[in-house]
Amino acid sequence: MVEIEAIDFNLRLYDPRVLKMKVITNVKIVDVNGNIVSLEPVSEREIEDMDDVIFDKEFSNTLLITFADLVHGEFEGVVKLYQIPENAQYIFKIYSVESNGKNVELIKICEMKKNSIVIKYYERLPELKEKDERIQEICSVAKLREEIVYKVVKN
Amino acid sequence: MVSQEEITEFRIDYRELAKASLEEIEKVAEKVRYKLIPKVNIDYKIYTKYTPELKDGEELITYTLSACPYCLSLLKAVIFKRDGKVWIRKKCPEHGEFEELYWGDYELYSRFRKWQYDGKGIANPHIDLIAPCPYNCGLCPRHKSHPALINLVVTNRCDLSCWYCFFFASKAGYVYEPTLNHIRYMLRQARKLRPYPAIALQITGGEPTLRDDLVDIIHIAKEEGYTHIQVNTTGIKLAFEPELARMLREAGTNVLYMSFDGVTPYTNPKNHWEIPYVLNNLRKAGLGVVLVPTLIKGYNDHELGDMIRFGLKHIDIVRGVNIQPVSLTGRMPKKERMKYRITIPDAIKEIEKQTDGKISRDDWYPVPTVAPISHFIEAITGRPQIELTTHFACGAATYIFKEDDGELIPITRFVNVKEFMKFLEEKAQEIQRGKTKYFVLFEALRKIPKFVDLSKAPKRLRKGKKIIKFLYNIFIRHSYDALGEFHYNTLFLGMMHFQDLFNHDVARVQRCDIHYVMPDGREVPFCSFNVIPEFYRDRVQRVFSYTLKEWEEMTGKKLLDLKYKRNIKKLIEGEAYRYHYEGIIDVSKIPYEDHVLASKKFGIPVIEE
Ligand code: SF4
Ligand code: SF4
Repeated sequence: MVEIEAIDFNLRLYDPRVLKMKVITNVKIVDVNGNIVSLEPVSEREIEDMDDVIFDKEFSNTLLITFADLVHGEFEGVVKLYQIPENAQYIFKIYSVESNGKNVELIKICEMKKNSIVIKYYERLPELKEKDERIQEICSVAKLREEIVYKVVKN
Repeated sequence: MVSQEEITEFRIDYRELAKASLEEIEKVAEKVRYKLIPKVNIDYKIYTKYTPELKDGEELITYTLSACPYCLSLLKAVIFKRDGKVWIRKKCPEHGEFEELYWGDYELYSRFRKWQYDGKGIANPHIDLIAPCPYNCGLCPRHKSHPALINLVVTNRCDLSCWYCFFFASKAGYVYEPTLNHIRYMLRQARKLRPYPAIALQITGGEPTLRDDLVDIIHIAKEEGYTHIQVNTTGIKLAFEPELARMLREAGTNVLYMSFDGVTPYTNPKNHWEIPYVLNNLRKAGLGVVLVPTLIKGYNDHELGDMIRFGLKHIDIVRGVNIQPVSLTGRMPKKERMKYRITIPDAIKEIEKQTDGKISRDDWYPVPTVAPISHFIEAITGRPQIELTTHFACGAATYIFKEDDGELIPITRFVNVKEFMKFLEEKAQEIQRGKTKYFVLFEALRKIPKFVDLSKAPKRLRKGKKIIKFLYNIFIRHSYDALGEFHYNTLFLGMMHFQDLFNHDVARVQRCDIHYVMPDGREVPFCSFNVIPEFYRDRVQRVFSYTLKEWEEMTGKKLLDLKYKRNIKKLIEGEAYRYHYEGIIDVSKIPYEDHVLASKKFGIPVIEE
């Protein structure tokens, strides 16, 4: 079975800039029949120094938070492990972000291929568009029906 | 896995690549890029488990990541306050502890830190995220700032052989000189980045004026969409070739960046004698220059005031003085490092002292201070704007207006920078939250005059409230037509403290906006390219180079024959020499023997015929 990781973290930065950020990642799949399933992690562990590349892959380009920022700040975080059912077609990672009191949600979509997971779509905090525009884009990039995307994003 | 030997042996036959089309160059670059990227446990190790402890009398500021100055392993470092200064300390399990002065004044550090703004990162990085920072350059997906200035090395040949430089061709053992096609590929690579493609380019070397096709390179840069082009030079060739200055200007060069380490032969043996002639030739060509001193404690820091006065004296052609506190390279013991180490606040305080407070520490602001201007204009126009979002500790700047009677007025004395930037940032955020742009513009129209104290402004800007009109034009009408007039009789003063392995801080390099584009199509922050040359600059340039023999055979030239020989007698006899330094130093008091000795000691031979 394919496994993926997701990260939750809390960060307080004072240098070089002040930032309070909390991120919770939810993982959902859309299976081959178009059903949406929310997944629960099968295990959890604390983030370690050796997770630098994993962390940066997950957040550095989308949230502009890097492992170096974690070293700079007061930080706690967990790496969660998810098992992806065999009938999954798409994996949605939904990041609930609280950044200096502002709340936003970012989406990343991966497609399951025979031997790999391919990133189809991801959102970046500094260039976040209106929700409707984002959903249109997701539908065209990931070739998903609008109502499915709405359901995944809303539920 | 690629072994260390494979990397040090690996070379491309550049004589073959020199014939290649753009597409073929692109293919080779893409193939080579991942091969050249530094490899963990081969090139460097990761020792981030160990966190350095604080000692008695030290106050924590933050932790960061850094590299071991000896083996380049990735380490954790602590940044702390002690005796009113800021320090960085790290410990390598193999090479022990390294402690270094990070910033010479904690108060200024705290004031500057308030101005940190981060950028929007890179939407389409050049390379995948596969290694920790700074061994993944670049630009990798984690880089925080888009490029503000792209550096393009067009040659590693140089007509000087400064004793401290290991970069130039004859010492490096190869000639790196990309073809015009290859240069076009690199320039295109750098323009690809989103959301903001680079528009400012610095052509650098070695000595770029040694390339006979420099003008063609400038034309290519223009064709590829660069709107600001500067050439980084010692100026030596320009002192003797007025025609070259004219050609550079006509091709589209906006400004020269010229090395200028002091006002005397003792402090500036590199180009002290030639600078007056360069300035004369630039005047004739109408090409401005920024003077660039490398600052070393105990060597030329006592001349800071004079260097600025020199810039002000020649304000008709000198656009700015950009001071670069020295980066220390090689295995240097702490005692020796402390002898030469000078940081941005130290230089700012020296300038305050040497200008009798006319340019005080309060007149300086860190680079990202101006980010709210970009945020505001972007919010109003909806068009992406260049943002300067380096780390606050990297650089500082101010702007000096010179009155006709010689009085100096830093911009901060009549514009309330702090409140104005705060206002622009607030308004940008209001627009983002949905406030109507026209309300905001109306408010700006009303409020802008409140940020200006007309009674303290330079006379020419007071007349007809010109300064207010300039601000309206920029912020309300987004018209920059009148900026030329605004800049008249002004001098930009800047500082940038390039890092070295002793004060290296990953938080700074991740925010770097001064990049190099490399022949394999990667774009690498300045402080990775030059601070870890064995992984970036030297490694990659060697691969894309000619051997010395190949180059000499191909061109029919001998590298060593191109070295500059200085005729000091002739240079100091010229009227231009006396005129340019008059009122700054008394040139008649410097014995001829001192001139000769200074030049020779530096590595530049002197001739007398
Ligand atoms: S310095 Fe920038 S490009 Fe280089 S590895 Fe770090 S984040 Fe990536
Ligand atoms: S070149 Fe170095 S000193 Fe300048 S902004 Fe980049 S990291 Fe900072």
